[in-house]
Amino acid sequence: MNFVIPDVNLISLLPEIILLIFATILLFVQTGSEKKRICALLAFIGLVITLVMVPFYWGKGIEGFGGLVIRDNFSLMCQTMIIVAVLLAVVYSYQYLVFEDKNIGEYYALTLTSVMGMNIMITGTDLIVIFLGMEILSISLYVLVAFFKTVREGMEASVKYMLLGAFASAIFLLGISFFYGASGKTALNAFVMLDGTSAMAMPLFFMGLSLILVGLGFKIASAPFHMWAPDAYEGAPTSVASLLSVAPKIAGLAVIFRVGIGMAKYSPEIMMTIIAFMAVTSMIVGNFAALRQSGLVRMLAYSGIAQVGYMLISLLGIREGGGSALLFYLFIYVLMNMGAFGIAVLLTKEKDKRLLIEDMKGLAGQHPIIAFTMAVFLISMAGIPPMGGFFAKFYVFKHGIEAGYLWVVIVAIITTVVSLYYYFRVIIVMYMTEEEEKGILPKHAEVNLFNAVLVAVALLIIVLGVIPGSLLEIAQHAVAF
Amino acid sequence: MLFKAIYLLPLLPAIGVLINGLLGSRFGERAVAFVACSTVGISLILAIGMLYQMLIADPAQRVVTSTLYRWISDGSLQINIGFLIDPLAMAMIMVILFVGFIIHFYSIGYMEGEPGYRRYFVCLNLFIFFMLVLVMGDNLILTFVGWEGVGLCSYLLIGHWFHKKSASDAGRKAFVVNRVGDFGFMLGILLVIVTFHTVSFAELKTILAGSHGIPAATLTIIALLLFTGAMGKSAQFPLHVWLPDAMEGPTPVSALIHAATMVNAGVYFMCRIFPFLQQAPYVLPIIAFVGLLTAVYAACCAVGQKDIKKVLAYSTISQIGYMFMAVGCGIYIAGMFHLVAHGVFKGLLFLGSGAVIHAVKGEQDIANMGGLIKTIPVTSFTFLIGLLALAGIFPMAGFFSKDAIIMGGYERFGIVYWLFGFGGAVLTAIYCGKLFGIAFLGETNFKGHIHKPNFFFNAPLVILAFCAVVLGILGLPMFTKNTYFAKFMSSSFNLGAGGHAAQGHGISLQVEIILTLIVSVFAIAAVALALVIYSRHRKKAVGFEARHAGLMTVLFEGFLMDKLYDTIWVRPLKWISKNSNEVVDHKIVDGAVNGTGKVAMGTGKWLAAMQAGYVRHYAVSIVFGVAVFVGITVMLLF
Repeated sequence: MNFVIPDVNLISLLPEIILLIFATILLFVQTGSEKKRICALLAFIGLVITLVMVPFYWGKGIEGFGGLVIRDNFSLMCQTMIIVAVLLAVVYSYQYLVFEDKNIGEYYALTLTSVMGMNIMITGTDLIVIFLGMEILSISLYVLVAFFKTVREGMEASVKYMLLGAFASAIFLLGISFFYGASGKTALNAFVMLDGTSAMAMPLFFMGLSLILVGLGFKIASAPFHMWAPDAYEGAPTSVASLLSVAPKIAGLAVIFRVGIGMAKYSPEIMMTIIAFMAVTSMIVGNFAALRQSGLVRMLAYSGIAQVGYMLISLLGIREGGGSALLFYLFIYVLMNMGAFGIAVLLTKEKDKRLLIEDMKGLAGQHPIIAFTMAVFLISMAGIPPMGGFFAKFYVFKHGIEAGYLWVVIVAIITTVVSLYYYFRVIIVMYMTEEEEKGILPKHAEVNLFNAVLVAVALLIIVLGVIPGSLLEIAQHAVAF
Repeated sequence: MLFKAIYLLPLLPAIGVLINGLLGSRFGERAVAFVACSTVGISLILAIGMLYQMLIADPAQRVVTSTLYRWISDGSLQINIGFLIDPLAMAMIMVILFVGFIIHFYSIGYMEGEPGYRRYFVCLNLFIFFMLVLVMGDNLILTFVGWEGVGLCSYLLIGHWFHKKSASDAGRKAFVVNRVGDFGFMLGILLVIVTFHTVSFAELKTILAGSHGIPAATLTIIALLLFTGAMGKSAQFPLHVWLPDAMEGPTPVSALIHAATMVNAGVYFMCRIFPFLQQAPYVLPIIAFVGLLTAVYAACCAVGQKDIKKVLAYSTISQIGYMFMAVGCGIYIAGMFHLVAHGVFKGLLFLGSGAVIHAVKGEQDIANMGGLIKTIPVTSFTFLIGLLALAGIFPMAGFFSKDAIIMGGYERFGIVYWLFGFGGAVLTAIYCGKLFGIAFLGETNFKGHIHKPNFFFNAPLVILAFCAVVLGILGLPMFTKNTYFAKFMSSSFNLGAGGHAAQGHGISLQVEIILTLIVSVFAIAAVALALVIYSRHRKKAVGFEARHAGLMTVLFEGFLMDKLYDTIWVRPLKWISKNSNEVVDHKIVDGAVNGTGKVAMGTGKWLAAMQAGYVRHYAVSIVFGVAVFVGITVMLLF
């Protein structure tokens, strides 16, 4: 048996290599409060460079490592969204890390390696590569969640997250081995082989597929694998929670999309039923549990679970181009969720104190701009025009109905109505209550750049709600294979 | 080419809204006014440039479209943010921007020192923006956006002095009555979408011009639904009741929104969708009838009014009725001509009444004025010109425009229809004469110092009065269908191959001249008579009115329409709502809502309780998920 050296095309992994270089440099930066700015700047530059590279890859479909890695338009679009989210998270971190002086370099280094892991996930076409990316991402996040070593909740959340993550990874690996046993390959395009395999291999294959979906469902915090999410978000530093609530979901959904595209030709009912189950349980669990939350971050965590449910609906119509609706929703989700977490970062007073919704009383009176941006994010999450969230939901529901899953969409609409309650509760608290105490904002929050970023994000959401066409066209272009 | 900059027309007022709305709190009054006026002024200059280019262009090239971007796309249905400018839209744009600019200018003085100065100008600019969107939109949806937008601005401006209960009530009434019409409008749009799969005016026109195979009944329903919307917005009987109350707003607002522009949107819209009207057999006579009824009814009511602004409000309703008569007779161009002329002279009259009210310190009852011509001559003479134009006296613009409509009615529906139109014209002349006779002539009844109007008041009045006189030129040459205005407008109303122009009986020139003379002579006589009676013999006239107090009350109350609505709508609704509040709401709905809320909250509590924090619980949840997935796989495989 002669060994063929695979066609290693390093260009295909150039963004990841750059991220790794920057992460390594960051590790060498001495800690100390005066270096904070340099660390943030380095991380920022590394991310911006990878973002700038996206247009150069666009439309080329560069492959590497003998086809194990592909930078097609879909992965580039996901990469863009991940980097936008992480860029915002870096801005938040710079704001938030007033509480901590130690190991700032490591913080940003881990942030960059997590991006690297996600990029590998979305570009990988082989389950082993995807698993590698997933582990790079997960291990970075485990450490980041526990970054404030003195905060007990953070340590606890990190351990929980790690234990359950390991559990899910094990199931994912088991799924891969079933998959390999049935098809003899680990590549996602191995489905071509299916026709030739024996009837006995089919159950094994689908069993593997459903276990793979369990692992991915854990990553995107979809019910019933969601339970780690509220604890981890709340225990983690809020800036990490913002990253945690958005970026891994993009990567996980992208992988599910790739699996689904591969499956689309062969009896996809099993996968679609599983996705429908995940979507419905996520929407119900997320929206109803959010009703009872008093902490803002915890409420946002459940809201994020519900949002994943909506996004999964678009995958039901994967054969009819539902991927475009997924990308559209993800883009809006990045903006509105990162925006809302940005507010949470801004309002957090101490590193070990939970931010309650009640704490936002009278925010509109004292800081009208901040309250307004928060209102924009919340209204967009509730899916009310003229915000971008409206069209996001609209396209998703449309694809769900066209794919024949009317009942899922009906559940989605009912739970959307439920969601109005908890989104608007925050707005009511901000606007309708008399201001009781002066100075909700902690002292460090008087940063104008930060506010400018929030306003820009809010404006973008409104613009996308008024002019959704061009983004949708890009998304449609990205999923056209 | 100026037409590349079409989008600037609405954009500039929108910028004015942003500047004044966001930064205006730091500006003084003059700065706010300067921003508001200059944005509209620049738009006006641009529009004049476009008008010029349109005039020198070949008639076939007078239709310009410009698409900014695709707004919504859903399968075959594409909705663009795009503008369509043809002579029809251009005429509206000129009225909106010209009268709008003058009224902006006038407001500088009128609103001076009022609280809410900035809010007023922000709303005014916003109104211009939405009105332009309404007339320039190249599809039904965009027009609808403008349609609702102007409704909103109208609501805000009527209730500008919102601490006055009558003002906020009037705003609400306008809003509610308009909803009735808008409901029909929305249904109409939906039906268009379902039937045609497009909302673009140009595409609809093309489809209707060809052999489309859409049943006439569908077209009739669409046209009637859209007409309902137009009735609400344009205050046609029986949806007119909001307009007299809308006079609670500041007078320049009444001039701009409730005389010159917004209330005419219905007429414009009917002209815009004329291909529907042409192919829907029963709709045109219905429109003609509603228009005639409104014209005569409102003219009667105007005779009985005591408040100077209410006279003008009913007169507006009546004149819009004439415009709908024109639409119903299929002479759209005559309707649009009356719209333009009316926009100018009614704007003039409202601004004049504003100057009068300002001069007599807020007095609005005409019986308490009198003899004003001696103290405020400029206002009085310009007001007189406006009234003569309204009464249709030669050579004012109103003479040409109204004559064309009444004549068109004769041509289309015969002598009875003409007689009613003629009667309405005479009534119009009577209340014009009465208004001027009481308020401006005779001995003065106003005791107190009279404010002399300043430059901000007089300049707009003089300009508008000049226009009210010379606009009639557009109606030349008379007695032909080829007036200057018609030549300009024709490219908007050329029908495709399948269309057919309105058919008339075809009357000879002699008949036309004789009928015109009859109308004119009677109108002049009526104005003169009313003038003399109410200025020289006011006591006798007042005594006559007092003897027929019942009749006058009926007229004053607009044939008790408000009472009627109160009885058949408001009270039953109040009763229903009161009872439903007690029974349905408290017991049934509250029970259901609270029950649902309890269930939802209970579910949430249960779900939250599952989140106890133990890792093993979480792991069990994952195992549960695995079991479900495997179960699904097994079930679907075998």
